[in-house]
Amino acid sequence: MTKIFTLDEALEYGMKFAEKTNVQAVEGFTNKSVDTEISVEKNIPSIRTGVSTGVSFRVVSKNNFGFCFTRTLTKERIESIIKIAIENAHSKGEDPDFKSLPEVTKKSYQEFKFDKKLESITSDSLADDMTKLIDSINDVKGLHYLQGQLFISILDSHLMNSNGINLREKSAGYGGFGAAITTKGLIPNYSYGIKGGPNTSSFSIDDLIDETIEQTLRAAAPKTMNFEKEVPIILEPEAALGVLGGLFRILATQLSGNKVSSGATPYSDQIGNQVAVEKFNFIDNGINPTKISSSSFDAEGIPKEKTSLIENGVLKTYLLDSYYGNKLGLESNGKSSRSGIFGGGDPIKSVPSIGPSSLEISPGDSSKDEMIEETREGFMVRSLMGLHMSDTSSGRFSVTGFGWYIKNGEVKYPVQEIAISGMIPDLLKNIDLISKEIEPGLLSDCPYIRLASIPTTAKKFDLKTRFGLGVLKILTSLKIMKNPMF
Amino acid sequence: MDEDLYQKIFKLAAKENAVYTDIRDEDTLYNSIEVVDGKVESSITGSEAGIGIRVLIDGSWGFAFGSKENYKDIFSMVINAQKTSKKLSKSEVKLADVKPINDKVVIGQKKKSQDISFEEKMNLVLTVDKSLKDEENKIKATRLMYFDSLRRQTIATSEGTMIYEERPYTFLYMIPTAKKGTDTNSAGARAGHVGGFDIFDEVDVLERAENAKIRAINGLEAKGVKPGRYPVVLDGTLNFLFAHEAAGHSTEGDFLRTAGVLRGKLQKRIASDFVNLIDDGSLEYVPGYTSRTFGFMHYDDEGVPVERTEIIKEGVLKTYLTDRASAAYFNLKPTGNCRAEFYSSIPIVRMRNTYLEASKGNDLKEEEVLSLIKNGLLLKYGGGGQVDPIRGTFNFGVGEVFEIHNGEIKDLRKATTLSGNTVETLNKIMGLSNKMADPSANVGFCGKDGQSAPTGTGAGWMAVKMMTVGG
Repeated sequence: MTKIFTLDEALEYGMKFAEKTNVQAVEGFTNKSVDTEISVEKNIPSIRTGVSTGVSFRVVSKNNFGFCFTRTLTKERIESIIKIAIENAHSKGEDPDFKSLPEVTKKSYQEFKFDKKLESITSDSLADDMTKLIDSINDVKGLHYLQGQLFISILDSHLMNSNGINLREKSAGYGGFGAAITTKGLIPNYSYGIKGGPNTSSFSIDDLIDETIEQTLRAAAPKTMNFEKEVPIILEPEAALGVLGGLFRILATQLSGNKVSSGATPYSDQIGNQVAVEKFNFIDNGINPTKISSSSFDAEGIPKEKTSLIENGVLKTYLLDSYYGNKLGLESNGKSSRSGIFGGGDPIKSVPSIGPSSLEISPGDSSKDEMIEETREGFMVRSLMGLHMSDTSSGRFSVTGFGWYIKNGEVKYPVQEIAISGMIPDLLKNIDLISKEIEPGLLSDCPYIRLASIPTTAKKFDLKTRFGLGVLKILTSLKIMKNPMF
Repeated sequence: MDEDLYQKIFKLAAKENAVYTDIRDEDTLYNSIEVVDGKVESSITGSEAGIGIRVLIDGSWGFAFGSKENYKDIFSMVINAQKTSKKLSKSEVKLADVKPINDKVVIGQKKKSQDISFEEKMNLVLTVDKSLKDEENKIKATRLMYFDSLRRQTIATSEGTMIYEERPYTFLYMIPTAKKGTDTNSAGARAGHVGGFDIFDEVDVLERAENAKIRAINGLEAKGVKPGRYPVVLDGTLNFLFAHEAAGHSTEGDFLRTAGVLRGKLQKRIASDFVNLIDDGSLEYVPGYTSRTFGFMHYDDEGVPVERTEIIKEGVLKTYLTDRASAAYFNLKPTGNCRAEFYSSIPIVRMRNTYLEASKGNDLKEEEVLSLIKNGLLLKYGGGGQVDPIRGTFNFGVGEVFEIHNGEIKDLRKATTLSGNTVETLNKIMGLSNKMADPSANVGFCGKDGQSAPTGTGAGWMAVKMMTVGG
């Protein structure tokens, strides 16, 4: 019978096997993740639970990388994938910019204490929290629970390289989201709340309930309108840096060392230059203890850090791993990522590449209320759609979203189908107000940001659609029929 | 296939009074190469293996995953998951009936991608990358992604279904970006199919690269479109994108049990009377082309045979796309749309090959579609898309735009976006051509609930009375 290795045995065997084949260097990574996700769509639950284990190797041969992974922890499969990884390193040809895998560093590693209480959270207790979320939303007049998810993920990872790096870390993600629908007004609308962190103190079901209810109530009774002007736009923190589509996430991509190195960004050779208004500070914080993405070391074993990318509007540095740091004549600032760790993918299958941990924009000196009061006509926007179609090389974007119409310094009503477009480099110089208030997000800390003027369009539903919604409203109000939308 | 293991799991399930159990046993091989600006950014080889077990007990699902050797632990997790699910359930899950099937399906590769050396794959990608450069150095950036996988999966159910399937995918994606000052314009081209490396014998990828390069350069020189509402003609790629993103996602039965703009609209008119919306997993080849469509398969991930599903027929919503549970919920026939990305993913309702066509007798030639719009825009090369099926809104990327004046194609305009409301747009379709586009160029990966699924395919041109172009 074929022997199945443990993760440590698989890592050790793969490292030794690669070294025996005379590779220049090798890096091995194992991960065991224990996941529980409880989702309920309206009243239909879906529970996903399981254990993922696997091993991956990055081999260096003929001065280039090859990467491989497997979940089948046998000698034969490990040997087979490492051989192919060496073949693929050879196929690439020599890379003069590769110097070495990271060496053991004297820099200190921020320590994160794993919260053992997470191990005692059962799917049963998550189900109790989910019931509380559903009931709390349904108890609010005019709100209906739509969907939600609670998750807990505990990761045990182990990273080694042939230069002596040998690091282990146990980390976790605990949180969830809730979404509710409101029937107030002609057009039903929905909104959501998202909360989470790396330990039990950074997530509470009550906070998620409050956020979901508050956001849905303020989204109630939306209108559609015909609009086509350049007006001020206030980006709520979710629209600026939210995980579901934050505009400034395009900027993070533009500041990635790989983009800078190839000139595929307007920010190549711009260090020291004023690229934004003076009040704008943009940070990637890999060691924020309240964030789900924080850890002691990055994907290649370099200590994570808090990095000021843009300070007082001046570009200070880029997001760098060891390869692109070396190529650009800079030092890695610990931004190598296996995008899977709480990034939606899978850390075992992800080749180390540059990515931010937790993005921050520093607070400004206005209050959110002042920003609204100082807006003669414009919109405040919360959720954006279509961000992934933006052109990261230029920063051109064209997105549609949901927000609120502002007239004469007052929020008038929620609006669906607001479209805004522009270029990120222009937008950074077009920020005129930043709020004092910061809203912590799942992977960010961000204030409200007002853009002085931006091309904005909106479209009113046609007569037929409005008529249909009107008839539906009357029929459901008279209880002749149930609203079929939910 | 590991029939002994499956029987052990079925016995454990029977002891727990499971009325239904299924096992997905997967061992998939992957290779990928990403080249950015002539440099190989990543090259990956790997294997994904494990089992996912799903049980239905007392009207509630339990699901868990892990490695085969730990099947007893996985089964314990399944039972815990089911108990949690039961606690949260307010209704009972029922499954639409299907006949048990025993089958072994190996979708062939004329040239097996897994037998091709990395060197040859790398040469192909780097050759295409080189061809994207131009003499005047207007193309400043390139990005290429090569991917092949061999999905080997057994589906075993307690009802007696036992299907082993090997399904290969091979795919190349290229994006050249032209740049002048701070202005940039990108164009995308794809070549892919359900099959092997032979796609690159059948499709001239260098010609496809040349075409993308020219579009990127020409688009850079072009003026932008003033954002606003226009009468439009959409090419086959945008027909596919609208059909998939806007219309298709809004008809997914699992999601519709909760909410959605098309909930409660079965058997009601939701589009012009000449409009059919099709989702067809059984469409292996498009007439005139030799590459298999990207959404082709024999069975879905519940072991249900796939079919050609007429979602909208002559403007009337005839069915939703279903898995066995949503089919039972809506009292519909299972359409074979249940898919899971990996053994570790919960199977959910997904599309296959989705497109809009004209009903019988209403098929127009492309020039006839164009003539429906006197003044407006011809939009080509859709790329990327996002839909909010609750609000019924969508946003797509458009790679190439031409003005239409007096029914004739005129000046080129810069790449832009297209947005709108699904229900309104379905009612504003003026005409459709059934001349299908090359399926190898219309391949994509659809995302839903964190899972990715290969989907197709390009269809014919369509005219729409009014849509919002640009932001």
